[in-house]
Amino acid sequence: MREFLLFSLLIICGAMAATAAMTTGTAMKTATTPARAPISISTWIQSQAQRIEGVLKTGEGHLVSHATVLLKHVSGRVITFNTSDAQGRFTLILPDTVNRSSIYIEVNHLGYARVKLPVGNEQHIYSVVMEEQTIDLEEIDIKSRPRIDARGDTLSYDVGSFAQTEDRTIGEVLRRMPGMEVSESGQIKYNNKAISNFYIDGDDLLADRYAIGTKTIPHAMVQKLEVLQNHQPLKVLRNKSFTDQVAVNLVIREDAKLKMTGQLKLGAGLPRQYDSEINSILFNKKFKMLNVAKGNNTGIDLGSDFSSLGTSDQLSGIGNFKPPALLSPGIGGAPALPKSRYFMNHSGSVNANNLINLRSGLQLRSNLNLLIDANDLESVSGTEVYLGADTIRYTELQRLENNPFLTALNLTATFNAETYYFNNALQLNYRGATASSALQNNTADFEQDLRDRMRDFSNALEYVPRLRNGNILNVAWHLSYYNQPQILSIEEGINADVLNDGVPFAAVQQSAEIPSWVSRISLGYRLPGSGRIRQFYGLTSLSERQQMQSVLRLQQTDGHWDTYAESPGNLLEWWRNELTVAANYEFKSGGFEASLSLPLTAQSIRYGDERFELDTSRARLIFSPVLRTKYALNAEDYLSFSYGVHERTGNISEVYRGVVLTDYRTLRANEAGLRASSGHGGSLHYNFQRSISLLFANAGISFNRSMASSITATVMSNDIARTVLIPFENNVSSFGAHAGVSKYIFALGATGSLKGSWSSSGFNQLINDESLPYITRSWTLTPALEARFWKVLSAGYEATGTWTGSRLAGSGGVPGTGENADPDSDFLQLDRRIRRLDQRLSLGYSPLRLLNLRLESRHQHIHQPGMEDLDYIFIDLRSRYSLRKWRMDIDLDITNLANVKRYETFGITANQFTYGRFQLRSRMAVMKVTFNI
Amino acid sequence: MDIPKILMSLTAAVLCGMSNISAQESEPVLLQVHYEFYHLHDTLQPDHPNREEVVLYVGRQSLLYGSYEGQRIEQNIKKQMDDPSFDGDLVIKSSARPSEEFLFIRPRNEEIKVVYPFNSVNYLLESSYPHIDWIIESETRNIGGYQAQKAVGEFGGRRYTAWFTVELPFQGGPWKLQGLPGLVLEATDEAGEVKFTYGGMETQNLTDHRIGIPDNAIPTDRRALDRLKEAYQKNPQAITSARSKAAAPSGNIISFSAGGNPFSLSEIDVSRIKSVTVQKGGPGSSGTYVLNNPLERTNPE
Repeated sequence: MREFLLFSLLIICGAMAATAAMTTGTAMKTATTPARAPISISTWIQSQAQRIEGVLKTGEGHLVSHATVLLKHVSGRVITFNTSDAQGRFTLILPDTVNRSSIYIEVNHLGYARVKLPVGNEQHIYSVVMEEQTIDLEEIDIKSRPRIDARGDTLSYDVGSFAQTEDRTIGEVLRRMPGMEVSESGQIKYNNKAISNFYIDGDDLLADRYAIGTKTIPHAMVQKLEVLQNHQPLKVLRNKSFTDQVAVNLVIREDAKLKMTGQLKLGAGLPRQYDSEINSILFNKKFKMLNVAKGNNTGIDLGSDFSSLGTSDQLSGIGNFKPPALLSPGIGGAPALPKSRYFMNHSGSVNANNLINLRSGLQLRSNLNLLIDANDLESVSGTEVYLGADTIRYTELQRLENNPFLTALNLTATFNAETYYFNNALQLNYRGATASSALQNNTADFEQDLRDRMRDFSNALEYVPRLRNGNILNVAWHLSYYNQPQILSIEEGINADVLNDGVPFAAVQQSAEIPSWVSRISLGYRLPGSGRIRQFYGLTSLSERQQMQSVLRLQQTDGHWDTYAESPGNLLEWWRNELTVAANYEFKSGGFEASLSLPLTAQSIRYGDERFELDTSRARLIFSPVLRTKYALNAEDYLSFSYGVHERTGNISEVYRGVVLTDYRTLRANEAGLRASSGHGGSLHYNFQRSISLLFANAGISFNRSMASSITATVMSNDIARTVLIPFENNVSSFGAHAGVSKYIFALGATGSLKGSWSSSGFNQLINDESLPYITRSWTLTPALEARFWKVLSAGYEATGTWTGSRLAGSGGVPGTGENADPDSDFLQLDRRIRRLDQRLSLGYSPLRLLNLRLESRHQHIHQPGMEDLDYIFIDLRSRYSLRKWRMDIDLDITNLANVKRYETFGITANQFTYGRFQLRSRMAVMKVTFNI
Repeated sequence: MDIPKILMSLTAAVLCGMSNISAQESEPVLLQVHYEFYHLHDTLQPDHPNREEVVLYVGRQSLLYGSYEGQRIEQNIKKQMDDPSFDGDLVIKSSARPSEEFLFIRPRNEEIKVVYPFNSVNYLLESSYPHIDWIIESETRNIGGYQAQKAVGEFGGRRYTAWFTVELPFQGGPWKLQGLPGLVLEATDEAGEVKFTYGGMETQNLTDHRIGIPDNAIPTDRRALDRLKEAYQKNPQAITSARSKAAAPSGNIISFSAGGNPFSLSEIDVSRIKSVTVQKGGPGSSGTYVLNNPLERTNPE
């Protein structure tokens, strides 16, 4: 009876438990079974439960948890199962209906051999010994492999979602792409980094002069734009060296590849404006071409199409120094405005780019650039140079007529294979300008002509094979010739006191040139390795041969030419030979990356000029290591640090002894030996981002110090400055700090950002035998906001505020206010601090799908204590209407609505104050019709 | 459906499956099981279900489940490009709408983490572990050469029939269908609106595959992620310009296309690709995606 009661109780409890399990399975599981897995109960409800318990252990007595324990029928079916807990225990509850002789226990665990145990009739407790066994994937019987197939019908995929209706060229769309910036020059930056290559369907058609591509290629031809990060253009080096270059690739639409397309753009406007273009484009696999001819007088500088925008110009390379131009017109700078506001021009250009891919893998490319231009500029400029007790000032009024031209031809042949890379690039440039100006300075009116002719030839050969052992060899030879002969002619003999012993004379002519040859041969050996360290060893030999020639001649009133009496001019020979051994190491592990570069250069320089009994040679060993590291603090934030030592040597333009009239008011010569400077610099950068809340911030500091062995000493008067480079210890140092934050404001659907920076630089000047150590400090703050409303209206605002100040170190005083200063000067009371605010606002409105209106306005404010504030407002209106049916666009642009014609500006550099006044392009309206042909 | 979706899933697959995860917290893939996933997401269009190839990576202690479209594309691209006759014109085959999420499952810890790649960033979401009360039935069937046994269980408002095999020493199932003592080869819900069909398995070529959560995954919650996605849809340019004012995201190759979603293709020489044609799966894939019949009809969180 007692047994029966107990039995009934058990049944009741069991049934209750079963019901509970059915309704709230989780609760039961956690309450009754220590292990996680649920229990099969389907056949169990009707019958009485039996418990099987056990423990899993290894031979050594270690408990085995997380094993799957199955109760199986001999047919292989699973009846019930559970998992062993942390103590290796398991519990199985089996239905009583089961015939114990036809079931068995199976224990599965990856890492242990499978165990099968018979279930004894009376046995309820099992102790199972597990045997460790590594998994052999070979033994897993794969009976069915995946099918390699895919479903689907074909349709072509169109990627145009970034393009707005008003966009025509790929450049316009590119600007809208996240992270992309296109500067006024056409340079593309991705996340603040200039791109290294601009590919069109994988081919580098335009090389580093790709601005023409962004301005010409219609975005409708482009299916997809790809940004290639950590890009390595040499296939043989891919995944073999760390690179941080970024490249862009335009994937051309299939249908656009088939035929040649082109556009004809005809534009005309008031007052008397023209702006026209014709282009032809063909981008197919084998042959690519982009040929453009255009002309305008609307202020568009076509020369910008030909500027080199790449980050690493293969041809220039390390240590390959082009001597600077010796002569200049000596006129104050340009206004702080886009060139199109003041460029009064007639320009025409031809840009022909053609590329062919041959079956053998050889790629041939030619780029031909031609430009002719005539522009003029009228300006008035004033300069004040503050000395401790004196102020030098000069003003000049000029009417400049400039006639630049350019012809350039690049020919390259490339094999870019997985196992080797071969490239030969030949460049031929001939360009120049004739700038004529009518000048009026403090004392005289005269005509000045500067004639520039630049000839440039270079050939670069590079061969990079992968060796059998997987390492990579790099052989390169670069040969170049460069010369820029210049002639500066001034009519009316100016500064007779200095140049001609006070005797009036008719004209002065300075000619100068530095023909130079450079040959560089380098050999590199790269061990890509498979571990954390990659190594590169290089050997480079460089030889440079230059000769500087200059003559300063005066034409006397009787018409005959004399050489300047005080100095016979220059015939300076220069040889530079260098041998560099470099070791580079790259290390990467987890969140830490570092690269260390250790170049050691043995340098020997010899220069001499018989006329000055100059024959100097010097040898120097230069070691300039650079370390860069980056450490990821977490998934989003990182810290980067770099430090480097630099050693620099002067060039030929700092050692010539004969006097050169570098511009109409500067005579220059040198007394010092070759300048050597050494220094070090470093930076620390912190990047913070919270992508989920769209908050991005970064901050950084940097410093740079260098010590030079010579300094430019200037003796100035109101008419002429004589500049000499003399031996003098000279320290130059700069510090900078920047921070920026950007946040997407969810509530407004707008992005706001704020950037700020501070910089301080100090250097020394020697003017009229006074040592003037100057410190210049500046602050900038840039707030910006962009938003879009109701899809038809977009607005953008950006402002830049700049505060610049300059003072003499240690004095705290304001130079130019000394006792000898001219009390009548307008500039006398000048506080040499300038505040500048530049604000831009743009509003876009698209009331119809095919009509777009855009209003752009810009406000500039310049404030300097003691001077009247300057304010400028420029307003432009652009509109575009598309006639789809006719494949035509009509643009109407009205520029400079407020008709601002004159622009004045102030500037500060160290102890100089400059003032400029420029004539601007007046209001104009241009209508342009584009036909797609 | 669009390329970025496919490619986004590729990003995550690449990140989760192979690279960018630290060795300590990841483990090698022992087995990969392929399924065809069928989901009738819009009951008003019963002829236009979503079909997709999905994969379950099985490791010793963890599982990773997600779309296989990305890898399929990558393999396909590689295969096409390795062909000596490759002419630069690439054809990508893809399902209509690949799953965006990847599930990282650790049965022993009863843990599921969701890796959600969005706009070139991997986000990490917590998810509750499904406790399914599987009822094992005696019926068996041969699936792909394995004896599979029937089990029935309820999850997410649907009653699933799953077929699992114990012939292999692995446990796990596609998506959240976990908790059976073997490997789930097939699963179907009662209404026939959700199906996982066995598509083969593989142990080969997995040496470079690891299961783990990407190092760069950013923990967040569903609400913040939804807010981000919504904001992105509203004004992608503003969002990305906010982003671009900071540092560059990591990865080798990023591509912008519709919607501006970058993707990452490892080791593919994009410069050889001249054109891309996408072949999409399933009729109706070009229409707008309506989800009136979600996978989980009850709130999982």
